[in-house]
Amino acid sequence: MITTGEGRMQERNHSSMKIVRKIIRYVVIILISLVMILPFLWMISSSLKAESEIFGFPIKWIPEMFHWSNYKEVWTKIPFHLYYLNTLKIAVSATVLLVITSSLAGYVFAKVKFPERDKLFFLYIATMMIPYQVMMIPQFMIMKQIGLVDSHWSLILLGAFNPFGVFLFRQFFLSIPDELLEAARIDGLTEFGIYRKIILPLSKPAIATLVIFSFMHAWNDFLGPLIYLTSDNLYTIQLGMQFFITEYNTEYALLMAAAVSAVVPTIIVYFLAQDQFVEGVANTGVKG
Amino acid sequence: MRKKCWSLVMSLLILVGLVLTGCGDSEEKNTAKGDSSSEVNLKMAVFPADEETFKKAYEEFHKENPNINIEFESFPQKQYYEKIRIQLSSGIGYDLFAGQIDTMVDTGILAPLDEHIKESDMDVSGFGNMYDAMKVEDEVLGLPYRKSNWMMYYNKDLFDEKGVEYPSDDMTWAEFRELSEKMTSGKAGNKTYGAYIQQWPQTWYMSAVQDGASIIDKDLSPFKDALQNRVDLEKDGSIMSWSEQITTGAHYNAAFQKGNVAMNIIGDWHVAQLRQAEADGDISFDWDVVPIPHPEGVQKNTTLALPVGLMMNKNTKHEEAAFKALKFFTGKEGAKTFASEGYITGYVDDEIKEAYLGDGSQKPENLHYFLETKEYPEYPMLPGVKNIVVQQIYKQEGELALLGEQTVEETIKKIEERVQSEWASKYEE
Amino acid sequence: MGAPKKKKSNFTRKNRLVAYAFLLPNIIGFLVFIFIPVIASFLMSFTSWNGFGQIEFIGFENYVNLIHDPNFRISFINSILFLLISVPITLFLSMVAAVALNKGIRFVKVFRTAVFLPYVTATVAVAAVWQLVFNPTMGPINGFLSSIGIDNPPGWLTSPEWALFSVSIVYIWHSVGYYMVLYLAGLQSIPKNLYEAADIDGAGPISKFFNVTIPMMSPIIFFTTIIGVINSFKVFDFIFVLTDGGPGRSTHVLVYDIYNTAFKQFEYGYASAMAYVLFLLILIFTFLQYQGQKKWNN
Repeated sequence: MITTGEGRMQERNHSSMKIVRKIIRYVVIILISLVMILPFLWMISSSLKAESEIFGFPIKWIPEMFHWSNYKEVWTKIPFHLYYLNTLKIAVSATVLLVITSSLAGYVFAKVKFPERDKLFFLYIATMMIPYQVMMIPQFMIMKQIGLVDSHWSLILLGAFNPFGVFLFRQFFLSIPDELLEAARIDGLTEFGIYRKIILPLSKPAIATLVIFSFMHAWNDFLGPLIYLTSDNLYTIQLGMQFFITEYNTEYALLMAAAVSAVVPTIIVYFLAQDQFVEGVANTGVKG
Repeated sequence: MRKKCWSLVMSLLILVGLVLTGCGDSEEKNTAKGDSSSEVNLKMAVFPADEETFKKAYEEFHKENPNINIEFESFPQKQYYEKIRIQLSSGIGYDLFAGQIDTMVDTGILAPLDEHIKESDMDVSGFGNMYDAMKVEDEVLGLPYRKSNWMMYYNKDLFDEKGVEYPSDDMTWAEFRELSEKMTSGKAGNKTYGAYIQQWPQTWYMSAVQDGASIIDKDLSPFKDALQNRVDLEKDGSIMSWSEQITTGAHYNAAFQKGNVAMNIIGDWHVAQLRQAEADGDISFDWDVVPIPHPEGVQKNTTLALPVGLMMNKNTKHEEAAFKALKFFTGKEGAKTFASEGYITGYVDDEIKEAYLGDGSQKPENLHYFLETKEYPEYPMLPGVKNIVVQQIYKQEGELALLGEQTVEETIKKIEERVQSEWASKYEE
Repeated sequence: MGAPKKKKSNFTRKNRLVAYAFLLPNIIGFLVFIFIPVIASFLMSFTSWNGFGQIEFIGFENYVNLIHDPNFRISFINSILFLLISVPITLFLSMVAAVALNKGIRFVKVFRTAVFLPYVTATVAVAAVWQLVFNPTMGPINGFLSSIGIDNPPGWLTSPEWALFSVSIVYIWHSVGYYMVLYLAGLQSIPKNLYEAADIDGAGPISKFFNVTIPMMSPIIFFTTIIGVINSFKVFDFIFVLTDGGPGRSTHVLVYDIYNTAFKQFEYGYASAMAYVLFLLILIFTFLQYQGQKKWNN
C-alpha cells in the first residue's frame, strides 16, 4: 500500500511513518516504565491493606478497604519523626562531607601529576573490593577507641570517606580536557582556583549523581546504624522499621507503610538532583 | 617522602594491633565502679518482643531490691546476636543477656552458674529436663526464662462443616495424613487445605526427633519416614506444596487466618497471634489446639522445645546482683509474670500453670495441652554445636526432595554425608 | 641536562605539595576508617578469631580449608555465573536507557524516575511481585510460554537450574536505573561543541555515538564496569528475600556465605579469608577490564 511510487504520497507516508514510529517509541517506553514501577505500586497498595490481604494470588492491586490507619500507626507507634530527623541529619552531613572531600581528592587523582598518584589511587579502588562484612568489626573497634560508638558521627564519617566518591569524581574529571586547565594556569589561576572556578561548575551532573547515591546510601543503610547505634533516640528509619519484624511475625502492612513514608525524601532528592542534569556544560571553549 | 609514608603506614598498623588486642579490657575498668553494698546498675540485653514483660517483672524485682537498677536494651530480632556479640567483643559490657545458649557458648564469656545456684538454694526442679539442656560440659551456663514448643491448631468451623470429628489428642502421623486428606476439598482458587506445614525444615524432621533421634546422629535413617511423610502430604494435595509456598510468600499465620486451612502445625506463640487477630476482628471462625501427631509407638503429646535462656557475663563486676536478677527472672517470680503474659516459661509449677491458663475466658479451650508435653530439645546443646550449619544442610537438601529433584532415600543419605563432612569433622570433639 | 631535571623535580615537589593538600581532608579519613580496617581484616584472615579471647594465628589454614570447602566452591561458581549473566546485560541496558532518555522526549523526568524507582523500592515488595511473576503455575511468564506452545516451562525461582538466572533477571531490573543515572550524567557532561563539530563533518547519529559519545564516556564506562563487578559480587539482600540461597544451594553466592560465616557462625577469621579470595577475584576482573580499556584507547 505504501509502495505507490507517487512523491507526494510518499512524503505523506513519510510523515505518518514518523508519527507511527513516535507512537511506538512512547508505547515501548510506557510499557517498560510500567514494568519498572509495579513493585513500587505493590508497596503503596500493601501499605493501605489489612495484614491478611497482602499476600496471595492474584494480586489485589486496590485494597478492599483503605487502611489509612497503617500510616497513623507507623507514625505514632514508634517515634518515626525523630528517626526521620536523625536519618536526615546523617544523610545530609555525610553527603556534604563526601562531596567536598572526594571532589578535592578526585581532582588530584585526575589532573595533578605526582609520582605515587596511581599507586595511591589503586589503593582507594582496591579497598572497595573488600566486602563490608569483614571490615565492620575492625571499623567498630576504631570507632570505639575514638569514642564515637552510639553517636551519629560514626555513621557520618563512614559515609563521608567512602572511596566511591573519589573514584566517581576522578572518572568524571578525566573527561574534562587538559587544554582547558593549561589555559587557566597560564591565566594565573591557582590549582584551587581551577578546581573551584572550572572543574566544579563543569561537574554539576557528577555532583548531582554523587548526591543521589550518597544520600540514598545513607538513607537506606541498615547494617551501619544497627551496629553503631544503641540508644533509641538516635535510631534511623531503617533501624526503627525493624521493630515491625519480630521473632515470629512480620507486620507487612505497617512495614510497607513505613517504607513508603521513608522513600519520599529519596525521590525528592532524586528529582531535585535531576535538575542538574541539564546540559549546562554546553561550551568548554576547547575542541576535543 | 616515601620513607615517611611507610613509617606512617607502619605506625598505623601498630595502632591496629593495639586496637584489636587492647580494647577488651579498657571498658571493664570503666564499669568497675561501686561495690555490691551501694547502688548497683546492671545492663541487660533482651529480645525486642520480650522487653515489655521483662520490664514488668523488673518492677517487682526492684521493689524487693531497691539498690539494684537494671537498664534494658533490645535490638532487632534478626540481628540480635551479631549486635550483642560485636558490642561484647569490643568491651561494651552487658551483665546479663537473653538468648539461646548455643549461639553464645563459643565466646567463653558465659559465667557458670552452678555455684550461685547452690549457694542461693535455688529450686531448679521447676525447670524439668530443660535444666539439663542448659548444661555444657556439666556446667550450667544459663537458665531458661521461656521456651517454645509445637502444637496443632485447628479450625473448628471447617470440621463442623464437613461433619468430621475434631482431631484427637492421640494421633499418629499416618492418621494425620488420612485426616488431612479427608479435610481437603475444592480446587485451586478456593481450595480448602487439610493442613498447613510451614516451610521450615524442623516441620518435617520433627517426627524423627519426637522418636528420640537427633539431627546430628551418624545414622539418620529415622529421618526417612519423617521426610517421606511431608512428601506424601504434598502428593495427596492436602497441604500447599513447598514451591507454591515459596512463590506466593505463604506464611502460616496469614494462611490459617484466611480460614481455608483445617489444621496448622506451629509453635505456641501462634496463640497470641490468633488472640490478636480475634481482637482485631480479622477471624470469625472457632479454633482450638491439640498436641501434634506422633510417630507410632511414641507417647502422645511429645513435642520439640526450644529453650530461651538468660545468661550472665563472666566479666561482670556485679556478679551477686546480676545473679540475683537472673534468678528472679527465670525462677518462680519471673515465671509468673511471663506466664500471665502468655509465655510458656522455663520454670513451671502448679501456680505458674494457673497463671498461664488464666481464668479460662480466652481461647483456646484446651490450652492446658501445652503444659503437659513431653519434650525433646529441637537440637542438641553440645559444646561447639554450630546449629546453623546443620540447619542449613537440612533446609537445602530437604528443599530438593520436596521439589522432586532427589528421592527421599538420596536426600537423607546426602544429609548424613554433609553433616559428617561439614559439621562433625569440624566441630565435634 | 642538569637544569631541566632540577626544574622537573621542583615541579614534582610543587605538584606533590598541591596534591597532598587537596588529598588531606579525604586521606586521613580514608586511612583511619577504611584502610586500617582493611588491613586488620586481612590479618584476621590468618587467625581463628571469633571475636573473643586471644587472637590465635593459624597461618594459611583458613585458605587451605577453603579449597576443600564444597560450599565455598559452589558459591564461588555461582558468584561468577551471576556476574557473567548480570553485569554485561545491566550495563548494556542502562546505556540504552540513558541514550533513550537523554533528551528529545516529553516527560523525560517522569520516565527517568520510573526506571530509577526499582532502586528505591523496598526489597520485600520487589520479592513479592517478582515471585508471583515467576510463579511456575499461575505466573504470567509461564502463562505466556504455555500459550505459545511450550509444554514444560521452567520452574524459575523454584528450579535449581533456573533460580540463579531468575535472580539475575530481578537484579538487572533493579540495577538498570542506577547505572542509567551514571551514564546520563556522563552524557550530559560531554561538551556540546563536539557534536556540533561532528555535525559539520556530516556525521550521522550512529557515527556520532561511536566517534564522540563512546570515547568521551570511556572513563565513565570504566567506572561503571568496575562498580558493576563489585556490586554484582556483593549482591545479597535480593538473594535473601527471593530464594534464601535455594533451592538446595543453587543461589548460594560468596557474600551470602561470608555473611553467614561472619555473623551467623561467628567465624570472623574464616569469613575474612573468603573475603580476600573474593577480593582477588574482583582484582582479576578489574585488571582484565583495565587492559581491555587500554587496548581500546590505543
